[in-house]
Amino acid sequence: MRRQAYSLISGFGDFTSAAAVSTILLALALVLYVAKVRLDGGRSFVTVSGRASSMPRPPVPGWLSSACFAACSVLCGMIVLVYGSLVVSAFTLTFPVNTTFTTSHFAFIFSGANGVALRNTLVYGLAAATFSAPFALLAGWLVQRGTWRGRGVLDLLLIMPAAVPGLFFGVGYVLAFNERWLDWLSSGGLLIILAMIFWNVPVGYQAAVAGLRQVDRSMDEAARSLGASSLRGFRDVLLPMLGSSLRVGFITTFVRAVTTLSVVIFLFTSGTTVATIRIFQLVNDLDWGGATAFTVADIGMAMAALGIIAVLARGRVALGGARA
Amino acid sequence: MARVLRNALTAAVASETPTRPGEIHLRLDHVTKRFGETPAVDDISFEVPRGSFATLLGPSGCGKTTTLRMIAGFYDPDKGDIVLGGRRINDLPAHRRGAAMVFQDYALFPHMSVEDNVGYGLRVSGVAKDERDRRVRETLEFVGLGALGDRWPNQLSGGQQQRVAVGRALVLEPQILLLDEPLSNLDAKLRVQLRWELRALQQRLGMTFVYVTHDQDEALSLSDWIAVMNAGKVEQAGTPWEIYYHPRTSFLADFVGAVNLVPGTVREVRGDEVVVAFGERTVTVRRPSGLALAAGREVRLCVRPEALALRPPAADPDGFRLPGIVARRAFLGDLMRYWVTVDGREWIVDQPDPGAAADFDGPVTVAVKPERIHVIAE
Ligand SMILES: Nc1ncnc2c1ncn2[C@@H]1O[C@H](COP(=O)(O)OP(=O)(O)O)[C@@H](O)[C@H]1O
Ligand SMILES: [Mg+2]
Repeated sequence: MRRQAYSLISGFGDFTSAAAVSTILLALALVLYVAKVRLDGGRSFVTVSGRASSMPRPPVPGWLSSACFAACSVLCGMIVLVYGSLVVSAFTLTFPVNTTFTTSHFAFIFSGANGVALRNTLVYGLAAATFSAPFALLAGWLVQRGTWRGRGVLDLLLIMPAAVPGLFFGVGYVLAFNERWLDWLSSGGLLIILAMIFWNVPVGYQAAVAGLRQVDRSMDEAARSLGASSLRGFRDVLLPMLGSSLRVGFITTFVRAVTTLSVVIFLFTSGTTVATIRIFQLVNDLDWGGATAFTVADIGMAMAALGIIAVLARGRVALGGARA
Repeated sequence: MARVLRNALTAAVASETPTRPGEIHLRLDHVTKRFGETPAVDDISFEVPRGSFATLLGPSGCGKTTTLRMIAGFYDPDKGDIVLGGRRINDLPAHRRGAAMVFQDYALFPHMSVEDNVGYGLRVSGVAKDERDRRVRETLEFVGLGALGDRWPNQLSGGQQQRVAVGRALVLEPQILLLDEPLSNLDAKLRVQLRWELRALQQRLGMTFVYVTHDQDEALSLSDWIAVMNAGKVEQAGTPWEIYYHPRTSFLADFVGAVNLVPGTVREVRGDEVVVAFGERTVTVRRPSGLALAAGREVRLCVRPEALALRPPAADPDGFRLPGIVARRAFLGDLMRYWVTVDGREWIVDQPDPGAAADFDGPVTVAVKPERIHVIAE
């Protein structure tokens, strides 16, 4: 279905049919949403109750951990194979024909317009992640802890982007903001950042809701009975316990933002091109060396972000536990 | 600490309203709360005097927590008024009510040390660090946790966590302290010990406590005043003594301890006395106040097992005597409990200090003093 819609746009420039197909996709998503709401209605997932306790982990049987280890090794092997060939290709003249070592591909991608594309990727990704993660957390709190009418609608709106292919997200933004007086939005890359923020909200939002569900309401209530407004209680009591949800939102948004092609393909301009667009163009030009070097740089960015977050998370306060 | 808290309280009270002995501190006026169709709390009204230890007692699901949460401001009543210190607080948000709450599961913040937990309320209200540290230290001393300030909640035993929870609420010198089954997660021995600590604390501070429990021993031993709730209503409110010896309904009589409830019929009302027939016998007892009785009215005779005594079958008359046969008995340590069949009905009789007297078996006489019999409607 997604492919079909894509071909409708790219092949025939038929936006009306494409919109119709997307609507069908949305309707399907809506059905799934209703099923989800039915399924977890009224269940409790609280693991952080007000009674502090420390629990040892249950032992895992030896055969099970060996089996898991074997399965993971196979998967790892396949991943290493793919990424390995990318890296080899990025550092050789014309893989696999001429495997002479070279750094010329990297010199190429760090210079001129390519350098700008890489910088844009980093800036947009960071900006999107920085805004998307806290926004998702706040939205999760408003929906999960609130008692106001219309929470369900907000819940649906926040989950919907997950059901929309990135391509349509891009198309939607182009159509919605295609006004002369809004040109400043697209020229500075703001439109791309906005699209990345909202396209990625569902992950951070779901992580926030899942995190909040694990924290007993008596926590918020205790803060309120001690004189904190609900916002203050959220900041002092819930937020520190939701660090992992915030990290999930941040890192997922960043990784998805720096690696997405579909969301940006209709939104980029010459000044706001990003790594994935350049990779796409280089592949079209059959410049495999440049394309793989770009890919390696792009993935490197994502890995670096993951590494930094992992290091930051090490000093965290464990849920329900003492300082780790 | 006690002095500090008391001074602060007196000052607060003096600036608000002049204190009168027996002044009403908390009043609920026809308060109703529904979840869906059935009311969880159904048109309840009561008044709590300032400085008293007030308890809401009732079986699980009767609406105690809901009532407490409405006072705290976590639920809005559908109907009725909640008045605290002469002021209607229905529309005041929870954090501005000056009613601190101690939760059943303590609700300690797991990411804060004991000190930070206790100091949280002070930090929120903007108390300067020096002053805050001093008050936190005093409070921790006061609840007997002086040395544990830098521990984490998960490094404390249940009893210690409970003390932190109480300290965290007390440090704010609240107008009123709300406690929702604060002892129910502790083992029996500690529960009894902390019971006395709580009572002593409340008396030292002279603070109004509203305490929720389903445990009648706890309610009777702690409270100045008890409201027994059932199915969202207050069945009866009064002193522990009134509740125990003069229950208004058989639900109440049964809920606050073992009891004999014997069906009977009013024969005659004579001034302060009433003659009640049960089975083949009649007994003359005191007429209960607040109950309109006329000849022919069905009633129940309510008598506590410890108000009865067993005698050998041929013993001298002592008040009222019933011939019976011991059906079974149970040794409960501090007393021996007998089930005695009298005219085909089982009566429960408690014999105190069982080690001091011989056991009874076979035919016996159940001796009852008519003044220990209480008549309830039904
Ligand atoms: N948040 C809620 N939503 C729906 N029903 C509730 C809620 N809280 C309590 N109830 C219902 O209200 C009744 C009273 O509950 P509660 O006040 O917790 O009783 P208690 O504390 O005396 O055990 C129960 O039937 C309970 O199921
Ligand atoms: Mg309860």
